[in-house]
Order: sequence, then structure tokens, then C-alpha cells
Amino acid sequence: MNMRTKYIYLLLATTVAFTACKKSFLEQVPPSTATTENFYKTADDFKNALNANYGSLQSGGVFGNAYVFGDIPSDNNVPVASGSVTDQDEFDRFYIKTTNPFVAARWNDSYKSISRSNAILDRIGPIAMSDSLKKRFTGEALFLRALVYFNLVRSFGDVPLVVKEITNANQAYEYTRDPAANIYTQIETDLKTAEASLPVSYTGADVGRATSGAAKALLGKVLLTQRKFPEAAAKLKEVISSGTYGLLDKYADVFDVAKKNNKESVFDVQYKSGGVKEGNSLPNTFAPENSGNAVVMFGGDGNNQPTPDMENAYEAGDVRKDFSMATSYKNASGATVSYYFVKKYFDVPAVKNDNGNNFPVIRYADVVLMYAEALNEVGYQAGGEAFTYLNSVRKRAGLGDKTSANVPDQAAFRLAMENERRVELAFEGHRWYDLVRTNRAITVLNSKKAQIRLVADLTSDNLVIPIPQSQIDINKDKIKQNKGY
Amino acid sequence: MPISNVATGMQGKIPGVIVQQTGGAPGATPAIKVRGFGSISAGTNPLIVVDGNIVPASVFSNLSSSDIQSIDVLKDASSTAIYGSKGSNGVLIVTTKRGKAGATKFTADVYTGFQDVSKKIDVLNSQQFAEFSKEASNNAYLDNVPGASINDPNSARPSSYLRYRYPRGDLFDWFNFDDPAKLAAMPTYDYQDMIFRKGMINNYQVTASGGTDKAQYLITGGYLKQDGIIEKSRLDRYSIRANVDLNVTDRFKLGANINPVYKIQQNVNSDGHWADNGIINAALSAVPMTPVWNADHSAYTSQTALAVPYGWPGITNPVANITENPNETISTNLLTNVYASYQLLKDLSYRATGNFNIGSGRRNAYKTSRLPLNQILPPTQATGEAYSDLTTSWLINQTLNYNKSFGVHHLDLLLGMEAYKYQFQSSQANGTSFANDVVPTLNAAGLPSAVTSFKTANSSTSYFGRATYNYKEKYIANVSLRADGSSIFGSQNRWGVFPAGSVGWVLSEEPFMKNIPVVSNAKLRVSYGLAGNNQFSSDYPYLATLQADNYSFNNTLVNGLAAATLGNPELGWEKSKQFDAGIDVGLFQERIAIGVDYYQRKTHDLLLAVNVPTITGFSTAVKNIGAIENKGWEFSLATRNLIGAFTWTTNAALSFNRNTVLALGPTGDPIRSNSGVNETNITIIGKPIGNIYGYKQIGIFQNQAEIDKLPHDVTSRPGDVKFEDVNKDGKITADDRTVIGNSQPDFIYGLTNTFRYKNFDLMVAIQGQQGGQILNLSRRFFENVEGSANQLTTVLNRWHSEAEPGNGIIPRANQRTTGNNNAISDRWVEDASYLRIQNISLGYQLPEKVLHHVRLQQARIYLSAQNLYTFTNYLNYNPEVSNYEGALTSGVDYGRYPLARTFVVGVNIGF
Repeated sequence: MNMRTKYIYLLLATTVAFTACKKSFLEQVPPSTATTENFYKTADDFKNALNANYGSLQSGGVFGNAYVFGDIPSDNNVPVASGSVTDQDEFDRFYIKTTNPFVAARWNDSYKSISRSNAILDRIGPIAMSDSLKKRFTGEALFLRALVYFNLVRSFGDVPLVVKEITNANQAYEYTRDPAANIYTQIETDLKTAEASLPVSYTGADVGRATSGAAKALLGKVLLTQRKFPEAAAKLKEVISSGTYGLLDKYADVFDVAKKNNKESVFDVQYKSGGVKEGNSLPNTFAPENSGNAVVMFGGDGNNQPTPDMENAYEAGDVRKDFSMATSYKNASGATVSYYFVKKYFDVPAVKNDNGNNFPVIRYADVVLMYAEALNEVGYQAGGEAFTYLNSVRKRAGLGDKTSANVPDQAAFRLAMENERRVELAFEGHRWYDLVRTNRAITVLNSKKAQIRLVADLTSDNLVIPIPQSQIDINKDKIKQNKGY
Repeated sequence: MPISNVATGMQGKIPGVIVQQTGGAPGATPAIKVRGFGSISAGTNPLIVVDGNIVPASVFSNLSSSDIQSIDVLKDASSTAIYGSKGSNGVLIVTTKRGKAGATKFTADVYTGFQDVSKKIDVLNSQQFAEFSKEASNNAYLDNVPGASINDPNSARPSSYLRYRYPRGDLFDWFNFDDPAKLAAMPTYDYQDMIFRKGMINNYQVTASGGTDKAQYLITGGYLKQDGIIEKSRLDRYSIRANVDLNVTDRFKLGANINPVYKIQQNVNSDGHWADNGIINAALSAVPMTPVWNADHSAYTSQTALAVPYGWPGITNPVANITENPNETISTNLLTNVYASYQLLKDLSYRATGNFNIGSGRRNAYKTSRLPLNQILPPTQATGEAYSDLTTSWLINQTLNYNKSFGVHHLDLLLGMEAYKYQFQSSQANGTSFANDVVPTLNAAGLPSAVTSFKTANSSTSYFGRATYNYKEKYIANVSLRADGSSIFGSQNRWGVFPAGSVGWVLSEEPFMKNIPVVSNAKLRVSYGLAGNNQFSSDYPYLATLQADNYSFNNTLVNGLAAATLGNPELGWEKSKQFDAGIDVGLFQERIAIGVDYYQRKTHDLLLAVNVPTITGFSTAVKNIGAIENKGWEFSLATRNLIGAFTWTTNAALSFNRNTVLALGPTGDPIRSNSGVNETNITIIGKPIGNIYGYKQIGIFQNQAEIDKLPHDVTSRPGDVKFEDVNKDGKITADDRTVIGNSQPDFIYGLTNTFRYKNFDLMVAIQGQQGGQILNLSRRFFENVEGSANQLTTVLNRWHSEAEPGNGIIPRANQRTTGNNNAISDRWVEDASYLRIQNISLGYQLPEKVLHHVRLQQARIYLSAQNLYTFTNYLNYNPEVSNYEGALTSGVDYGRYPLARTFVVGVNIGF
């Protein structure tokens, strides 16, 4: 065979070789990215999906920056003064811009969490797994969804009610803002299903998941917020009677990282230190600016500073005061630096923002105080159960009892309850919501107008935050802004 | 002319091609665009082909400029049809030099010189800063505390906001803004002088080429050493190239190119925020009386040592940010090509090429315990990082070519196929808890953290054909068709078909034109075609992907997986239709050559990440939707003005491009994009891509009466910015933001003049752009008039009072800013126009007699200056700056390595 023929055969051979590896050549399977093609198929997949659903609680707009939504607007705290970055200042003094990034985070992060719950609930039906496990996963997803909707409805008022997975973006344009009452109805439905589906407690590596007690406690809070006092009292009593929870003897122990998930913890957002990117930033976030390693290792950002008004809210002898906050610290050279800061969350991280503190969403002390409040609203009873529970919290704080002598009527009890919740649950993101649900926000804050440096007198428009501008812009026809913004 | 970076050498030379030096670090890759931004979310880079190999821009800019024979830029659809399926943004064809048969020739190119920073920025000195900071503290104090007076001592000012207080000798005796003697004695440290230096640059290159009729070769080796203008930054680049061509028989040819390049870069953290130990931001923001070392020179100090009682930020130390943060990258790249061509029949030939590119990079970085961190003085926690990556790609191309003349007709047919695969993998580990700074590698880290690795790949296959016909070399017609399939699209729309055609008419060959001797050459050409684009940020955009979101229960880590993107199985090629008409005219025996081109390029089915309502759980979804248009004119002129003993030639290029967004997502909503800060840019239909978005400033409020009369921000006070009520609703809200500029220029130009007289030659090249704006976001740091960090000297013109209103643009100093003064507004939008003296080169050829004495064939000595001076009004270092990749956020400056001025002297020798 001559050279030419040889080369022609070589040519044909190579051409055929190349055309052979065609179709699969263009179908690359991503080596570092998982896809939904092989997900949502087994019990394990749903376990992972549910873990990510819990994971979404850590995002800024859900509980990661809870202090911005629950503490800063109140008289308890002021933001770190940062010159031209006014995002938190806008919450503190009530001139919130519709483009505020915290507003956008609350909306976007919340709906991301809700979409994860919906994905699980919509797809778990036909999957083969034990009935009890399926029931439990469903209960957990419903609990998490209800928790996030509770945040949304309290922050924004009317919000779109999304209860199934949206797979095609075009469907999203049909949703309008549903009335808050409908959101509350959905929350109650979800929690009632959850309390029946969740176990009373967990062991070992499952401790920290939602329990039926958590669902009941949250339901009680939701009922209390809607001023449905008899139902709230009944539901909260169920939690108390279950015997699963109790107050710890020492206030400090409740927040001790070594003692996390203790008897008083009903539901926490879980964190873990140790360089696995699951750490809590709060100890560094709240430590004073420029404090170096003097207060918490790796410095602080000075956020959520307590006010002098907060300092004065503690009664003399209250052990909670020195545990929760401080007004100065000793720096590296031994000098005392005056700075108000939150001490409640403390840990020794190996890197900045990698602390192990859980963030308490519902504590037993909160349950007990809510129960007392609900009882009082049903009817004032001198020396009744309401007083017993109020005093159990006060006793732990080293304070004397309140009696019908110093709290003679329903109105006085309400005030006593307001102050007790203020100091017991300080810096846990409750104060603003408590003031709003008791219809006291406008009165209390306007009376301290100069101190808080309010931009103008508060009106009912200020009780909700604006809908994020980007979400209004993307669907102008269906999503309308809150009044006053 | 010696240019260490090949791409930069192209600036201003080719009409329609923008080469932008967005940052000046040694080895930095410029941004290249042909005929405007061709896409919104998908890539806008042209395809770069080096000897048949598809390479990224970073590999292209590291070629030795003396290796390059030619760079052809293909701009219209017809010419790109064959060379690149991804040609919708233009194609750069780079061909390297090859050997020629003959005696072996040697050449050597050596140059040496230095670089320094092209300009410095004016910031306040200590005395000016003290007065400014005091005023800012007093203003904040008077604003917020009832009954305040500026004479109140620090102790009387409430500690709830420490910035009401300013230095009055309470921390250190010398640190006193009230005492005139102490104030006058305060030193001013020039941090810019401390971080910049004159960097040496040396380049050595030797080439041998030659061959016989059977084999030709070119072998070259080079070494470049470039010290950057910021201390410690440096590039060492070694490269070798061997190009070989063999005529095995008179029908069968073989050839190979091998080009390994080895680079070692000492990097510095020039661009980051000072809180992340960024050097330039720290140098410009640090309060000017902050010493660099502590009193006994045993450790670095920083603003933290001065800041605590006054609530100032703990700005890091610019010098320590350089010396205590070693960061070295070692990268190797190997480009290889092999080709074989066989003449099957007299008119039929076959050619196959195999191209293979492998690149690996390794980076080791370390922050020592002597480095002051944000608000923390040393000893601090040391951290280490180790990163490595590997990129491989191969391309196989086979073509059959039929080429035959039938009398005055000539036909050329080409048929071919191509397969391409690209793979990338990387791994990274960080660590902390080092015992000391002696060993910076991670084996000494007590606590490893953030360990990760990653892999991705994409592939494509193409089939193409082209037919060219010409009649008497006078009428030319060309038709081509190409089909491409890419792995990044779903199976439904994986393949795209791209036809193109062009016609040309060489007017000057026509009989009637022969009567016009002035016109030595005239060619008219028109082309039209379709091209595709599949450059996207992800290699799998059509898949619905999952991401990890882990959690823990009772201190036990658990894995979580959740949806990350909405999939789109219908995702397909982004397509552009391009029309091009042009004329090339030569006059007076080619003494004047003019080229004029008009083009119109419409890109549709954009690979667009459309904003979707976040109630879906996602903020964007990728679809083929939207359309943009680029149209413009290009002019080129080459004249030989004087010929004879003294010659003078001129080359000029001028381009105009108008970019317009024609359509966006399903509801036509604008796309809002973030850069360093939220929502700095907006893209809307009817305007060019990536507009700067913010408030319009119309002045400063002089007094309360003025505030009461006009729409104002809820917190506005006299001395604060007056914004325009764009939507006329009587309030200043987020809806008053509007388009306040765009980075795309009105036109770009380049002009090169070359003079020769006897043995001397002089070349002067200038280039520039006119129009276009930049959002100078770094003025958020140095013009925020807050008083706790250093500022530009422009703040000396700030508003003090109604009687001293300053320049009416800069508001009052205030430690607690009111009136939303530092919102993004046109106060920080600057004109990006510039004219740069890009290169001046003076050379002398040694005369024959001298050459004969020293036994050389050829020798030339030269002096050259690059980037000698830039005429511009831009405040920061570089008007070409861009911190953020992509069309949506171009033209934002958030602090970047400045450009250098280079002076070198060199020789070219041939022997």
C-alpha cells in the first residue's frame, strides 16, 4: 500500500474516532455541585433538606440579626454609631428607608426559609420511610414555617402567604399581600398539626430539634400576640404541666455555652464553635469597639449598646444586671474605658465570630411569664397563680416577691409584667414586640422621645417596617407599600 | 517598543478594540472588549486564539511581545464564523513568529529601567486634619445634646457617643487639637511615600531561528523581572518557546509549538478594605499623625492606639499591611500545538491540529502575629492560607480544504470539525493557631479551617463549512455555516446554528477606477451573520443546583442541602446578529490609507439572570431573554506623510460605539446591581448597560428656612446635602434615585507618529477616551467628612456656616452624618475622560561600519517611556479603573493598584 493510501486511511480512522464520542461528550455531570435530579428521593435526602431548613434560621433576616428587629427599635438599645452608615440608626429612630438592607434581609431570608419548608412538605408524601419519621419531619417543617411567618407578620403586617413550592418564577407574580389575619390562621393551623406530630423530647445528636412542647409554647405566644388570652393561657399551661421544662437555679447557667440545651431551653437556634463555619457571631458583635482582646477574643463591633434607661430598669440587687450588661471594661493597659455593652453572650472563640452560644428563641422563663400575663388578662386575682409564676422568675433573679400589696390591680400587674419581661428577656430580641403587642409601644417610646432621639412622634404607621423597595419594584401591581413609607 | 504586557501594547491601536488597564499590579491582565459590551450577565470577553489554542486573557497577556508575529482582530460575523463558535464578542487571532529557511539568525533584546507611581493623591496634613476632626466632633455634639457648647471639655460630653469627644491631651500629651503649639509640632506622615517605591524592571530575551528547506525552527527564551510600584510586589517570569516546522515530504507537513511559562509573583493586598488589611485604603484613610512604629520601635502600632477614647475606627497600618502579609503565587503554563497537513490531491488538502493547554497555580499567603488587625494591636492571631488550582484544556480541529481556479473564477471550499474540553479544579485550606511566625506553611497551624476543593468542566463540539468565490480578484463572495453544541446548555437547546455571508468589491480593479490614479486601492465590503456566546459564570446554568447549608444539634455538626438555583432545561445559546459595512481606500500610492466601518450588532436571547420575586426563595433565575444593541463607527488612518531622508508616518484609530438595552426580563424591570455597596448600578431599557444609580445633588442647605421650603431628608440640617426631588412628590425617598452616569465612553482614540532620520527613530503614541463616568466609591472613605479618618484635600472646601459655605458641594463635617449625605449621589461621579501619552520611544541604529567592527548584523539602542503622563480630571489614580468584572457594574472604583510610569533603556541586537 503506498504512502498516500496509508495516510487517507489514517485520516478516515481519526475522523471516525472523533465523530464517535459525540453525545455523551456534551453531557457533563457537575463534579462539585449537587442537583435536584438525584435529590428528594430517600429519607436521608429529607433529613438533609430539613437540616438546611434549620440552617436557614441562622441567616441575618431570620434570627441572625434578631437584635436589629427586636431590641434596637425599643428603649433598651441603641446601635453602634457609625457615622454615615445609618441602616441600624433608621430602626432606632424610626426613619426606615425602603432600601434598608435589613428590611430586605428580613423579607428575602424569611421567604428562602419558607421555600425550604414548602419543598419538604410538598414532596415528602410519596416517599418510602417509616410513618413516625415522616410525621416527625412534617411536624418539624411546619414548626419552622410557622416560626418564620410569625416573624414576617409581626415585622411587615400583611405578607404573601406562600404554602406550596413555587417551581416556576412566573407563578410568583400572582401573589399579593395577604391580610395578617390569614397569616395568623395559617400559623395556628401549622402549629396545631406540629404539636401532634412532634415528639416530647429527643436524645443524643437530635437534641435541639423542634419538640411538641416548642410547638405548644410558640402557639401560646402566637395566641397571646393576637390577644386571645383564654386560649393562650390554656395552651401555655399544657407546656408547664408537661414537666419537661423548668427554670434553672442560676440565671448565668441558662446562657452558659457548656450547659446549652438545658432544661429551660424550649427552642434555640443552634450554633457550634470549632472552625466548622457554624459559629455564633454575637459575642464579638456586641463587644465594645476597639476593645482588642480585653472583653472577647478578636475584638468587638460595638453593636446593640444598652441605654442608661435600660440600666435603670433593673431593680437594686437584681443578679441579672451584671450578668447581662456592663457599663465599662478594663483594656489591655489596665485603664477603665467607659462603654455600655451586652455581656449576656460570652464565649472564647478560636477565630472571630466563631462562638458556640445558642440563640434562645423560646425559654421556659418566657413561657412562665406569658402564662402569668394571660391569666391576668383573663382576670386579676390577688395572690393567684399569676403571682406565683411571676415571683418564681423574680426569685431566681434575687429579687423579692410582688404581692397584691404592691401590685393592687390588673393595670399594675400589666406594668409589673412589662418591666419583668424587659429585664428577664433583655437583649434576646423581645422588647419591641412586647411593646407592640401590648399596645404600649407608642406611649412608652414617645414619652422618652428626646432620650431616644426620635425623628418624630411615633404613630401606628411605625409599628411595621416597610416592604423592601426591590420587591415592590419587581411586582408593582400586586405588592403595595405599607402606609407612611 | 518594550511592553511587558502584550495586551496593553494594543491600547488605542485597533479601532473598535478597547483595552482597559483596570489595575496596575505587575502581571495584571487588562480587560479587552471588541465593539462594546455584547452581553449583560454572560461573558463579554472576545475569544483569544494563540496559534490555534483557545486561551484565557491572562495567558495571552503573559506572552513575550517579541514572540508575536501578528495580532488580527476579527470583528464581523463573517470572519468570526470559522475561527470561533464563541465569536459573538469578537476574536483575537495571535500568531507567533516562525523560523525561515536560511542561516541561523540570533537576536537578543535586553532592556532595563524603573517604574514609579504616575500620581499621588492629595490628602490632609495633621494640622488640617485636626481642625477638621474637631469641627466634626463639635457639630455632632451640638446637633444631638441639648445645652451643648463647643467649649465643653471631653469629660462633660456624654460617653454614650464617644465621637463627641476629640483629642485634647487626655490620652497622650502631644495628641492635643486645642493647643496651638502642640498642634504645630505634630508630625504628618506621608503614608503614600512609604508604600510606593521606584521599582526596577529588567527584561532579557534571546532568539535563534533558521532552518533548511526541510525544517525550520525558532527557539527563544526570556526572563522578565518587574518590581511593582508598591513595596514588595514583584513579578519574575521565565518563558521558553520552540516553534518547529517540518516538510516531511512535499505533500506532508508537520509542526509543533511548545511554550512553557513559569511565573513567580509576590502579591500585595493593594485593593481591599483597610479592615481586611488593604494597603491603599489604609494609606489614604489613616489619620496622618498616627506613627507606624511604637515608641521603642519594637512593634508596629496603628490608629487603634490613638482611637479608643474618641470612638474612632481602628484603621490598620499601611506599612505593616505590606511587610507582615507575605503572599506568593507560583504559576506554570504550558501551551502546546501540534499540526499535520497533507496535500491529498492537487487542489485538496487536509489539516489537523491538536492544541493542549495546561496551567497550574499555587498560592501561599500568611499574616504574621506582628500585623495590626482591625481594632487590634499586635501580637495578633496569625493566619495562613494555601491554595492551588489546575486548568487543562484541549482542542482538536480537522479541516478539508479545496482550492481551485477555473480561469478567472476562483473557488475555495472549507469543511471542518472541532472538539474542545475545559477542566478546572482547585483546593484551598486556611489555618490558625501557629506557635510562632517562623514556619508559615499550614503544617504548623494548630487549627485548620475552611478546607475546601472544587471541580468543574465544560465541552463543545462544532461542525463548519465555508465557501469563498472570487472573480478576477475583483468580486468576492463568502458564505459560511457553523453548528455548535455546548455542554452548558440543556439537551433541548444544546445546539446553535450560525450562518454568515459577506461580499466584497475591489473597486480599484475596475476599469473606470483606473482613470483615477489618486486612488491606488479601494475595497468595499459588506457582511452579515449570526454568532453565538456561551461564556457564563457557571458551567451548568441549566441545572437546578443544590448548596450546602449546615447546622448543628447539641454541638454535633450535621449536613444540610437545599436548592440554590432554579434550573432551566430550555437554556440555549446567546445569539448575536451582526451587520458590517466598510470601505478601505488607499490614495497616492498608499501614502494615505483610510478605513471606515459601520456596524450594528444585536444580541438577543441573552443569558440573563433575571430578577424574580424573592418569595420564590430565589432572587434570580437564568433565562434566554432580553436584547441589547451595539452600533458604531470605526475609522482608521495610516499616512506616510514624508518619505525620503526624513520619514514621518502617522497611524490613527477612532471608534464610536453606542450601546442600548432593547429588552430585559419578562416584565421589563430594570436590573439593579451591587458593587461595593448596595444598588450602585441600574440597567434599564432604552439606555446603555450598567448605568450608575443614585441621587442628584443640587447644592447644600444653607439654613433651616431653606430646608423647610424644599423637599429634604427627614434628618437634614443646615450644611447638609440638598438632593433633587426627581419624582416631584415633595419628599426625598429611595424613588428619587436616578441614572447619574455611565462608564461607556463617547469615543476612544489612538494616535501614533513615527519619525525616522538617518539612524534615528522616534515614536510617540497617545491614546485616550472622551466621555464616560466613573463612580468613585472610594470617596466614601476619604470624603465622607466624618472626622475619624483622613480625607482628600477637597474637604477644605466644605461648608462651615452660611457665611462660609465652601464650594457648595461638600457638606459640613459631622461625626454623626445627617441628611443622608453619604448616600450614592452624583457628588462622587467623575468624568473618566483622559488623554495618555502612552509611549515615547527614541532609538538609534548603529551604522554599518560600527556593526562590522563588532561583528553584529544589526543593533539598535533605545530609550522609552510608557504611561508618561495622563491628562485627566479624575481624582483617584487611574481613570480606566474598574473593581468589578461584568457589564452591570463596570466603572466603579473601590480602591485599586495604581498604574505605573515606566522608563527604560534597551538594546536590540541581531547576529
